[in-house]
Amino acid sequence: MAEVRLVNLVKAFGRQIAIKGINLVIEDKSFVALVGPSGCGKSTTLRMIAGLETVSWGDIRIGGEVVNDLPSRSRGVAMVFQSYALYPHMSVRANLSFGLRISGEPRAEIDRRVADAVEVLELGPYLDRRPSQLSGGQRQRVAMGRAMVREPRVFLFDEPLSNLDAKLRHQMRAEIKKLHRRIQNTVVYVTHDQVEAMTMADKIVIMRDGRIEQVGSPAEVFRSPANIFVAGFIGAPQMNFFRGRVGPGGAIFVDRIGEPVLAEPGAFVLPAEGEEVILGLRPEHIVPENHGMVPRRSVCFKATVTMSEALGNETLLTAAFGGVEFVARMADPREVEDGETIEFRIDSDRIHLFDPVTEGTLRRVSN
Amino acid sequence: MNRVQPQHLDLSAIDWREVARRKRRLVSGGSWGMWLAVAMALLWMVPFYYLLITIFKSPAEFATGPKLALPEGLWPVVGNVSAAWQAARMGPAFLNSAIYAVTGAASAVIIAAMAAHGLARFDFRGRTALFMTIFAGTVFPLQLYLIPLFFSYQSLGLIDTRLGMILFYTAICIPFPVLVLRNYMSQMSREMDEAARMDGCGEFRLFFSIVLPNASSPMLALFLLQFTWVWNDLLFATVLTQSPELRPIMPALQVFQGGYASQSPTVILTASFLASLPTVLLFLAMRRTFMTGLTAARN
Amino acid sequence: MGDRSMSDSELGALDAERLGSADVRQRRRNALTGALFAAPALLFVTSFLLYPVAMNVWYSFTAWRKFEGLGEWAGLANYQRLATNPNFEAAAINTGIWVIASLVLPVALALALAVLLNGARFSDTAKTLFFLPRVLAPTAAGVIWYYVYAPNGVLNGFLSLFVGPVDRGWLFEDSTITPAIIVAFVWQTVGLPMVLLLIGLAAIPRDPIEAAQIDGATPGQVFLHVTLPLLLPTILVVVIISVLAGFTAFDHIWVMAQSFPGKRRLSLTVLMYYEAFTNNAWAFASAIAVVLGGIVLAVTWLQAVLQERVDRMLK
Repeated sequence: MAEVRLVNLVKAFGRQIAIKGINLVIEDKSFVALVGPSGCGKSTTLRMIAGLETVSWGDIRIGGEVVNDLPSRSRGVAMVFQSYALYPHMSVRANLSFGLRISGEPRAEIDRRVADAVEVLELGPYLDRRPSQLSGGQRQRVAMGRAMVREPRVFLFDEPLSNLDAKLRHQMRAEIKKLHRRIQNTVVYVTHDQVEAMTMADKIVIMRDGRIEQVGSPAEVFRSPANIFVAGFIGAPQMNFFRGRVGPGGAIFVDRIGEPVLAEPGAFVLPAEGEEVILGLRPEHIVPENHGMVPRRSVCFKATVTMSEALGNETLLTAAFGGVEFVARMADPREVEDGETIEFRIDSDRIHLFDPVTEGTLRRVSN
Repeated sequence: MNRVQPQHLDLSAIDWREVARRKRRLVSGGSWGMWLAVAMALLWMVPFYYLLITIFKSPAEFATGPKLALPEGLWPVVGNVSAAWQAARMGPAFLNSAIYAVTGAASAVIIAAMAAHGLARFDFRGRTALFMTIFAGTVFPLQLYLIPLFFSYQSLGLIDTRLGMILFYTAICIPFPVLVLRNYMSQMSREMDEAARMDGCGEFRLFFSIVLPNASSPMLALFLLQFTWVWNDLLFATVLTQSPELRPIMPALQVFQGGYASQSPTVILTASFLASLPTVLLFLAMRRTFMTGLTAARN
Repeated sequence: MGDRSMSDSELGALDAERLGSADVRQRRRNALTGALFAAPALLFVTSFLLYPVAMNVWYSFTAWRKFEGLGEWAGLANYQRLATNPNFEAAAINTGIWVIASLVLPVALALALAVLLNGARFSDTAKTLFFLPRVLAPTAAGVIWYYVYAPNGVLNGFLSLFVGPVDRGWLFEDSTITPAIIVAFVWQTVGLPMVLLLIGLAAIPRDPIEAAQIDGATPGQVFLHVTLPLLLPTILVVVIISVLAGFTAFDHIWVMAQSFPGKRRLSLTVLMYYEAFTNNAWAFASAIAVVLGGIVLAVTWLQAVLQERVDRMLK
């Protein structure tokens, strides 16, 4: 069993507390992504699981066993580093077999595991080359192979794709996911790219400033973000936020829009009438008139386009009304000039509401 | 919109040599500077030239003819070499120099690599102090070691022993490589270390299998530098050894010194030539490695 | 979503010492491992280099001569002897000449050569040629130059071509021996400063030079106001190396002055050797060594200070 459990995990650097007592369960065989902006502590957390950083407080349990004081090699973990960290002076074959050789595995076993990794990662043609003779993607696969041959309980990935170009990244994402399905191990994957996390993970852990903001499946964190931070972090382009006020009967009056947005009854726990709320809307849910499906319930308003980015299949419009700016997706685009005034529709079924003080979601939690 | 008609450039009409000449002039201040440097380089080689022609002259030929004249034949060199070899007992002397230089330089560089590894890649409070202690070994002039070592060696029975010489040469060849390698190793990737530790490497294995192979090029350059230093040493070799069986090559040459040298300069110069041959050949063969070692030293 | 992280107050309540204990243990492990790796080097350096230096200093305060007096405290007596010893005076002056000469000659020559060779066609070959003498043993170089300077040697032969027969014994006259040896010394050592300066020149960015050229500066002005200041750190290093080498020159003097009766007056290094191994005046010789060492240390310290100032100036 290779469940990873973090219990009240704290990491302090001198007086600075970097990881603030987090609790997390990573189920056996699951693919969990740790995401967050730089400095949020995701890499530090990963390194603590790996045994490369000491634990200041709390426990790390792997397979039920507390591993705080165990050295890395005894934890049953293997790591793929951001810079691959291959041994420059050894051939690919030697890189792959190094760990096994020094732990005294029998020759036959070493050969078997290496051959297995080579087959899965298609490293056959490169076995006798040195890392310096390989491309970025190839080196990455060698790094994965090196981790694989150790047959660890838990695979750790530290932003492995950030040094690759976009196309290669896309390709490698699929490969890593395929690998996970094949070898069925627990994977903890750190990235700052939320697209990577969304496409690869079974479960996403969003971190900020040493704390966990939300844990959930990609669909969950996308549709029901726990707070403004998560709502803004997941999804690109970023969610739009508007100030609003609660009106009678669950109506939300957004500043500068005459017509109120009617929140779905029972979906939110609303504060008292007259209180402020923050309304969140993803760009795809602000629909320019005649471009995209008309929402079932919507509120119309006009805004002036300040910038348009034509992506070919759609255009991202940045528009403003009464000093408030937002981004909307325009499907089936046409040419838009700056300064043009367009009518937009807010999809009332897709709004998110947040408390302006706590920044937490006002959505009613369904069981 | 304006369209510019492409002009046809007659490439064959350009004097490329003049272009190159102008560029060189711009860069190095004109060709006269280069010729001056070439002239100086040739001048610099005169002593070598003198050495090479003299070895091939017989004592008589040397004494009578003009000093810078070319030798008449090549055969005299055999006589010179044989006379030099016997007079200075070069056989055992070469052996000793080789033993001291190879063992001393190699041991020093490996010990220095260990120290550099420990001081550059482990973070602990006293490491700068420890480094300064080792670095202090480069700061003092050699003369300060001489008398105390002489007497310590005498009382320890290390005087006139191979072990004593090797120990000293090792010690003196350690500080400088530590300086260079510490700098080099602190720039080596730490992630490689971490990957190795996760692979199950203990610290010693990490050093020998991972760190050392990746520091091989500065270590080689340093070995060559220290080898040359030990080979060329006169002062300590003279003071710390006494018997001819243990003397390295430079003190062995001293047999020609002073008033009782009855040998012809041809023989003496041949002896000097032979004594310098290994280091010169080593340098010529490994020029590039020497130079990279210097660049590392400069930093 | 549940209680995923601790609150600030909970964090504040954690015992600070326990928080840091794992790190303390790690540091201790690091210190042990690091010290273990450094141990052989430390052992060698302290026993064979640092301890002798301390012993040397101590000897200089004793009355040790020939076979007795080692335990006897003599205070500053040996140093006072230095002041009145005529050999010391002469040797000190000569060492001073060596220092000045090695301050000026190798550096100027190396600079000129480096500038001439920078980017020139044969620079790689030239580098090798100028550096080659360095690989020669000083002893061997001394022997070669001994015969160059011999009364019937190369130099006289060369001069005879111009001014009629010359048979001066350059290495036998008081006035000419030190300059003669210095020439040989510079011949052998200029390769290193030159290579270092070439490396330094190559490292100078082209932009300031080109900007100055566009501004209309002559090559001379470019050199003086742009190249030279940027080269200053390298020049400093080169100066220090040259000066220290000049201070501690021994092998050349030993070999080339073999027939010169006043050898011991030619430099402090030779005087020290003479006093120790010929006169067996151990304490006195130790004092000379201490003086030599003290000056070298002072110069090295000066260099470190200047280096820092230059570095700061260039930032």
